[in-house]
Amino acid sequence: MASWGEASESRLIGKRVTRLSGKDKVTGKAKYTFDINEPGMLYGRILRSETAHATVLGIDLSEAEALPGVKAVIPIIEVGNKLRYQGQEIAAVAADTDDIAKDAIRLIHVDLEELPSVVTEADAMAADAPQIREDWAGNQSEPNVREDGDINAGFTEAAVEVEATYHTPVQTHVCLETHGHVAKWEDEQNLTVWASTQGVFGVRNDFAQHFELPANQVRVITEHMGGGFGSKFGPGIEGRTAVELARITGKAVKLMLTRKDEHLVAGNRPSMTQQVRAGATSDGRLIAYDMKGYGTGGISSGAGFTGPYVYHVPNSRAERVNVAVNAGNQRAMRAPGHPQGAFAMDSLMDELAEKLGMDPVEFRRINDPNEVRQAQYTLGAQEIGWHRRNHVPGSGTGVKKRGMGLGSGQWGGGGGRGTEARVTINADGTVEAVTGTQDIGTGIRTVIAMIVAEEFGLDITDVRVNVGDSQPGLPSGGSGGSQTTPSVAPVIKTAAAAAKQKLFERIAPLLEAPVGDLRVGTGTIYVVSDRTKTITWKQAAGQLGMDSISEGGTWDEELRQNGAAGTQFAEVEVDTQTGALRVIKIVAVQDCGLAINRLTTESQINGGVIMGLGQAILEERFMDPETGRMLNANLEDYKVPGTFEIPEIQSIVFDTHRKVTGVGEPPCIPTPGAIANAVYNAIGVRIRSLPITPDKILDALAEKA
Amino acid sequence: MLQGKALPIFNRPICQYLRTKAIYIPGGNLQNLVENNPGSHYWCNCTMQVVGPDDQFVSPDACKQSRPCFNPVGGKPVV
Repeated sequence: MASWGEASESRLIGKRVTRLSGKDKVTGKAKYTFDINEPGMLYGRILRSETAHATVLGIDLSEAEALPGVKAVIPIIEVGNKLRYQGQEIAAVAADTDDIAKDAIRLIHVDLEELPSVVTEADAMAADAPQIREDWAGNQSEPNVREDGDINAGFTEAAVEVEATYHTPVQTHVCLETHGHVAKWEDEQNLTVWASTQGVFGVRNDFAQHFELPANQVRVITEHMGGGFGSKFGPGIEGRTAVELARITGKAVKLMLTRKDEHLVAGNRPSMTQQVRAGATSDGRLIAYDMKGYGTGGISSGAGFTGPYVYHVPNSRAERVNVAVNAGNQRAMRAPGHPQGAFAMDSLMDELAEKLGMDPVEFRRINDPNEVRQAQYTLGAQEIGWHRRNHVPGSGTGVKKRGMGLGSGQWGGGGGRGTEARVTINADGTVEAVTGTQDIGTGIRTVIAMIVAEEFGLDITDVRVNVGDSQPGLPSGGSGGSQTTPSVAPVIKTAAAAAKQKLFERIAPLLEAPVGDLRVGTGTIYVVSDRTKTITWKQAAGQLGMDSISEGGTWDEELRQNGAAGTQFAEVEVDTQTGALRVIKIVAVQDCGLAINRLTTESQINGGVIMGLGQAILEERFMDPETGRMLNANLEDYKVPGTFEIPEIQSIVFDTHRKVTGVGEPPCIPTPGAIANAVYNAIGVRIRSLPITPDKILDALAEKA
Repeated sequence: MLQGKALPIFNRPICQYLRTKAIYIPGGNLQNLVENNPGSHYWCNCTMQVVGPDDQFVSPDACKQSRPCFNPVGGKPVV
């Protein structure tokens, strides 16, 4: 049975290893799609709608076409079709410079018939709202209803009840590298695209289908990628446009979205509003849960969220609908649906615990069936100093009041089939590992090098890793669902093991030992029964002469496992005069099975916590009902955490087994709930709407007073 | 798309241009192509938009043979 071996035997696996690309990234040597510049390359720009809802009556491209330096102008939307949100694509330009392209799109004239629009959920659901989605009555999808047990019986048994409404607004992805492509036709049938994507093979296949090309004549390259968080799977209309402009002009075209575009059209986390009634028995058992909620993912569907979440409720009913508004479409965003649901559920848990007079941790212990999280509660409480919390919420003295809270999360991350890889040993001792995955910033390149280096007794810098390119024709899946490492690592491991076996077979006669007696040391191969028989790795590889050994791998399910439980504890400080909220510390206890690279795993946890922090205290898309436009489509008014907001983060890699589980998404789930509960513990006033901003805190304190 | 995955046995034809996240990632639930998942976002690989070539919304429920742009898996490309 395949295994990763014991921790005590590992030289690299499970250790903290600096990522291979770190130096290139900090020195600017690393090439992102944004950095690609081909000779004679043109610059693409897209004209976008500033109107939230309209029918296109005409598009006049002639003035833009006449501008010197403009090489192509194309319509994107057809006359007669509808524009359904601000930012929707109308037409595009390719020009010699980016400035000319910007000037040119201002010269495109569009004739519109404006239609009534709605950009907030409340307006969209109003009885007199204009119908903006023809297939949804009242701008709402059919309800999705899930029931379990008998909620009426459950409420009859309940000793305490809580009724509350929780809300989270739309949050955008804020990828530091915006979506974009550089497209170049090598000839009429061969296309090369540098893409800022989470899946080079998915994008390759989509381009091939769309442009009716053989898949093996489309090459997609993503050497480095500056953040996707679920929003960068298909080529997107900007990718299609770049390729079309390149085909028309016969030149390479770079088309990267602007920061404003990112906020408007490149995806978002849908909002959530839920009204929930829940009950618990006098001995602390969660017994009944009744929730009705809605969210918006813009004009599209997909605004689902979890609930009930994590904790066992024998009697429940949950009803959710999608609400259509005239705003940009949602896309999957780091643990889709989970952070919203977790915030509501963990707030609810604390409210019930208080009614029961129970410690919030103890209340969770009673209701959480997950054994891993049970252990995490103990560790997290110990590390944050849970005994220091206010036993009576808001009872601290002074203007600045401190409090503590916790939240929980759950994810899968067990990986899947579909990765092909080759590990090659050359006669000069050099080693290559090739696969079609992509490093989206999370460090899979280093993980691959560590696995191969461990297997061969080498240093990670001895392994050349080739990822992010569809050209070698070794496919791998997109990096989403926290599936990359559990999908890729087993294949690399088995490929390296197969290559090592082949090398052993070649050198066994030289060492006069059976293959089964050979082992790798550090840069050596030796006979386990006679350590005097040792040769260096280079000497061994030299036996290959003019040959190389190149082996593929298989996805061995024994090397990975599904399921990642997590819990987080937060300590906050609230200035009761200004409403300023400072998160002091987050203890993040995250189950992830075997962390191949402990350092990058900790980085994943840090990143997840920071994204959860943003959702908890800063991030919110503001829409203007009058104009239908987003009011904060920039990074001046749309706030994300910076160094002043980021607290001490204690990332605890909670190893529970020696199998690989993905951890990219789960650490962002518990953070908002933990912070919201800590705020309540600090000031004794509950804020049920994210983000928890100073104005909400002051309003709540004033209401309490 | 569908890298390394066997297509599930669908109980009805699905449009080859219908897209959702699940088909891009290992272990994604391909049933989302057959049944509307309220938590899933859908788009069309012809338009790269949430509407198809006919300017109507796309989804497993909406992308059916009655639409002129519908192309079942293995069918003829859109004209």
